[in-house]
Amino acid sequence: MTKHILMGSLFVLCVTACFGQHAGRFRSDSYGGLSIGQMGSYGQVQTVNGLTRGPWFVGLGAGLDYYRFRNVPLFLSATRDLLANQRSALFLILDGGVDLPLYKRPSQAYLDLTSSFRAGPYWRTGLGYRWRFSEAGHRALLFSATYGESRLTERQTTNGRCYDYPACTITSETDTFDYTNRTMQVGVGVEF
Amino acid sequence: MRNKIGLSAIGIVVALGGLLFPGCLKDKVKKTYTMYIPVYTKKTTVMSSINGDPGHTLAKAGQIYIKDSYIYLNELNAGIHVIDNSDPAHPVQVAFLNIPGNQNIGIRGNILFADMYSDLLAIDISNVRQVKIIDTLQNAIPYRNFGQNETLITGWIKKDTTVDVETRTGPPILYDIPGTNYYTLSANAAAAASSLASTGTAGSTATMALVGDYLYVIPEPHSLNTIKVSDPSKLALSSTIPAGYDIETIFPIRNRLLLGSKEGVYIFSLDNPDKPSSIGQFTHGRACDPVVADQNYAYVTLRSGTTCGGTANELDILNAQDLTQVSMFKTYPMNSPSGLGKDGSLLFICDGVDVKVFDASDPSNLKQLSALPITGAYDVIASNHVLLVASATGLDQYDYSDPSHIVSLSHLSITQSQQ
Repeated sequence: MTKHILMGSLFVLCVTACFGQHAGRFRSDSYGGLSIGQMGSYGQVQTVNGLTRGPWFVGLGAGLDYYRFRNVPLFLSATRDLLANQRSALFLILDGGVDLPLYKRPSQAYLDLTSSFRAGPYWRTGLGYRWRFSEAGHRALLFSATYGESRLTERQTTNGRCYDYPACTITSETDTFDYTNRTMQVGVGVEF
Repeated sequence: MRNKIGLSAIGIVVALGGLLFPGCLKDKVKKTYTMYIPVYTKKTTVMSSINGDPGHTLAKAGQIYIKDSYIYLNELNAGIHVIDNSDPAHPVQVAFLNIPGNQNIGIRGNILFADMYSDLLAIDISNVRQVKIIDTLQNAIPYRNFGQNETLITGWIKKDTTVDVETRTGPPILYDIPGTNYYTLSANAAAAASSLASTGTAGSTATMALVGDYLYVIPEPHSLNTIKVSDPSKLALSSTIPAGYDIETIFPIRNRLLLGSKEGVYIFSLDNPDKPSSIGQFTHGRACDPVVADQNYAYVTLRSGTTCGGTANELDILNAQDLTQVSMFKTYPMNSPSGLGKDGSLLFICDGVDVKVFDASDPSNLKQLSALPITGAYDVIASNHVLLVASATGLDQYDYSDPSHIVSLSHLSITQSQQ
């Protein structure tokens, strides 16, 4: 977790320093949509704020995703316009960062189970489409379709797996689950 | 140009979107768990080496049982420590009976009855340092038969393993909880009120009880086995009867058996000792519930949570003058009660972080006299002014000659194993 945050911070520092030399314009993209995968379709929102210059946009993103376990991806986002004219553009999206768990497993009457989640890596790539409300303005409607993976680790400890006292052969068990979630995301958003 | 870009872009995005159905995407879930691989030993080898090392480490204590000046302490699934308790202030481990799978103990005269997984052994303990197996009743407790007729599990090898887990669709729920529900038949033998002076005394959380010429065993949570032991060299299963649901403990009193279950107390008559018959039951909320009784009242502790279920943590005192018409007399709140014992007017209850001592001369008005700070105590035996407390940390003894001033006599500590 700490390693991921440190690496992300270093990357952000490098990119910011790079953009700082060329005075980019501040831009904010916000999306809402669905994460779709094996578990079904779940809501997600995210925002990316950063600097844009020419066909490039680089920013820091944060989201809230309800796929499998509620989680908060924190990531660095880079987009590049591929085909563009005055009012619309097709752009490539590449996100990378860390996925933070924001989920507490509910307790169950007959299981003395403790569960703790750990963060894992997060990446996502895909295409977006921008349609500006006016040729001169910066406000635009955004559509995106991306594929990505995020990983969360859960440690489950079951205490007292014993139907009766005084004691059991095995009084507790700890199991580790690694979840790699593979999802498509579709989103609609706005750019300011 | 504008339309061209717009249409192609929308087309690509829509095409990507068209791929978005869950069947195309598979999550990956890996589970890392600890696996225990059994180590098997031939039964003949095990039985020929029953006299083990007296210095065997006390690591996972189970049932406690006292007979004459000895304490018999079950080492869960490993055997029985024999402790000379002639001086309760200085108990001495004098022998260890190497019995894999052992959880239950009952003693009649010089014969110790002990389970070895599904088999029942009759052991001559005239000389506890050199005991002899005099008979074996195979498959007396079929629930604990793991399919090895010629071999026994004598150890476990621990191994961490990672496997892929098939994930299901739909919202997250509590699932894939690893491992099996390892049902451990509770340990302590009962027999406290046996009419035969030659039997020993056990705690309240028993699954085995000696009454007269018969040994009554809970082979699994829904039935009761009767084993004739009048001739211990010829053990014989007399009957197996359905006894109720989720039965945990067995306590004999006045030619009756009280079977404590998670749902209540089942009462059986021993008028025909070959085949006990049901004569009544008392139902309570779902909870773990050891039971003891005297001539007029039955004392039941209800413990909730974990695998016990339910929400009650209390002591129920039941009217038991007529065991065919058991009814609630009074309820007292508790923290997390488990085993209990009674000696005269004194009632001892393991209750979470301590063992509570009550004056029970008037069951409608219990008076707490003291609380002994013993964390994880699960059963007690109170006899001859010496209180024996089995807990997760060891075996403690107290002198309660003066109930208002209970004195610690000794402590045998448990070395926690890594399993």
